[in-house]
Amino acid sequence: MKFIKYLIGTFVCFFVCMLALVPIIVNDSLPNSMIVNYDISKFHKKGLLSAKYIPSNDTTATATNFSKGQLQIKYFGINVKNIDVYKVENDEIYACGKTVGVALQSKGVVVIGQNPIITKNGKEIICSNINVGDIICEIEGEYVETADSVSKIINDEQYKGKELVAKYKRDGKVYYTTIKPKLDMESQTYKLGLWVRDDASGIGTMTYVKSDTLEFGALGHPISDIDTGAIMDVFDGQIYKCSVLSIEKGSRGQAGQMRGIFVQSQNSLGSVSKNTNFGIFGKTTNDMLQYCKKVKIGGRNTAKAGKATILCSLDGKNIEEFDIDIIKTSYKGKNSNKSLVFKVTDKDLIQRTGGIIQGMSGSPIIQNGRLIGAVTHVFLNDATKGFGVYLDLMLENS
Amino acid sequence: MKEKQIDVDIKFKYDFAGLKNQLKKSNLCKIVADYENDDTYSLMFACEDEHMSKLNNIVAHSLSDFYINRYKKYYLEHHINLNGIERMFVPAYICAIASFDTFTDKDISLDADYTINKISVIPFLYFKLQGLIQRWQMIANLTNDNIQCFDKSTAVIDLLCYLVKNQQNKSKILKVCFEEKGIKIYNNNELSFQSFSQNKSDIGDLIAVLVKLCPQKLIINSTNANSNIEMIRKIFSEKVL
Repeated sequence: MKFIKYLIGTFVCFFVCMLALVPIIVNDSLPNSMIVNYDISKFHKKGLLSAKYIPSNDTTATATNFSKGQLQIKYFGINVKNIDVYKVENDEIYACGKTVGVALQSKGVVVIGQNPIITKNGKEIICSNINVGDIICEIEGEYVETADSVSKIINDEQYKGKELVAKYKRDGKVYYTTIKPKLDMESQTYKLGLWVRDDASGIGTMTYVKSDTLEFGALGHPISDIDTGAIMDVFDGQIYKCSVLSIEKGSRGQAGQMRGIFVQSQNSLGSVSKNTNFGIFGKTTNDMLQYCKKVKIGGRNTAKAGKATILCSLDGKNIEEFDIDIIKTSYKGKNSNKSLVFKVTDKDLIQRTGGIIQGMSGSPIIQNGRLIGAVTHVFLNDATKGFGVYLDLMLENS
Repeated sequence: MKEKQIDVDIKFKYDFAGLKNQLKKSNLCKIVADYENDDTYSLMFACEDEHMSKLNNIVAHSLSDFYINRYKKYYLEHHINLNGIERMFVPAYICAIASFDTFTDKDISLDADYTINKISVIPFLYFKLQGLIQRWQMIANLTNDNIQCFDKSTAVIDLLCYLVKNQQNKSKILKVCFEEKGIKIYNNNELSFQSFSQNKSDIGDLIAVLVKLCPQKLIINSTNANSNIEMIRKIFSEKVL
């Protein structure tokens, strides 16, 4: 009898534990957001574990070809998870894979070092409160558009030699500080003693183009300053036709790279308006569509471990398709551009590049006829392995 | 005992002085002959069989350096339609484009078989290193195909800026001082090592020197702003404010 009681007790405990664990399991196993291409507006599933779609009034979502809403998951009537749902109005998109040259002019200037100035007191470091990686955005309320505009502001008659208020960004947050430019005895001009940079350029791969608006997404990761890693806000940016001149194979401990040249003048393929953690975005021209192929939109909800392909151009002209194996997909990590892990299995690609190399960032990842994401990073210890970002994250941030 | 001979066009004779010294210093061989004959300069050396592979390695590196640092520039000068590029930028452009991606050039160059006993330097390049020639021709074609863009100084400046960014830094800090008498370049130790006048062709040469030296940090000192300074600032996009 005692044993039966003990058995029943254990069973009840186990059942209660399981019931209590359900919300945790639900919360952990379901994604925070998803893209759907079917009508979800009347979705309502009843039961112990119920799900109901609540449309959103967010107007910014519709502007990017989405209608947005939330799927509320309830357990015994208690809300356990809200999933952001994006319903795509147009289910098709152009997957690209074309190598492009990117030139960006940053909004503000990125500080890459201090430089002592020769004043009447000798060599002096002036702006000790501004660190390497900070982005100076404004001085005395005047926008700093380029490095030259800093010189103009601090040498303006009304500000010469005065203490000035500077607005700067550090790790995405805005701060204010005072700076006092000093007269450089050599050039007889006022200087801050900062070594700065206001532009960046390189080559990357176009991920997608929307056929109706010609909006594009590329790279899958941000363009950041080569020395400091600061993500540049775009003041002006262009993408260009690019000629790939050579490929340096990746090896253990060192990422390979594509080396190419682009001429910035008559070869523009469009403009860049945004530089985000999930890639660069802007508008391209009809010319770009000739390098693209129409596929269905995919993302976190369609990606799964298994065979897939990537599109990329190793000579800058022809776009080729190479086999990969998706090793791991993760629903979580909404803010990560490393949420998908894959391995290159195509012998031809491995032979030509060693795997994933710099310049292939943005290469579209296609699985079962859907564009599910883009290549973003390479594993330094194994060039055949790489990270990817989901397409829906790119679309959300475009 | 084995002998090896290297023949090169007389105009490149002085580029092989380094190789001659290196061979002498190596103590692995004896210089047998070093002479000029018509338009050719020849260098002959002999060594014991067991040292030959080491000497071949020295020759391979020396010839590769010659092809990449000297002959590539010469080749591009003769295959790019220089008339289409604004005159002032020609030296800087050639210098920048020749310095672009020299790593791959070196890889291709070192892959060749330098074990043959008689190497005629230029024919060897054209027959045994066709990969290099094809790459250089591709660069020349790229310029010639886009030559209509290069009549605008902004396009050349943008390209120079990109090429400089993708070049490996060779010197740490250079200071360019625009003074009344001319322009002087100072090195890290504040020593002036080259002077230029303010005329247009000299500014072009100044930019070429700066491109060649490719400093990590360029400090420009001037009492008054002018278009030349703006242009140099634009090419070397890192600025000290």
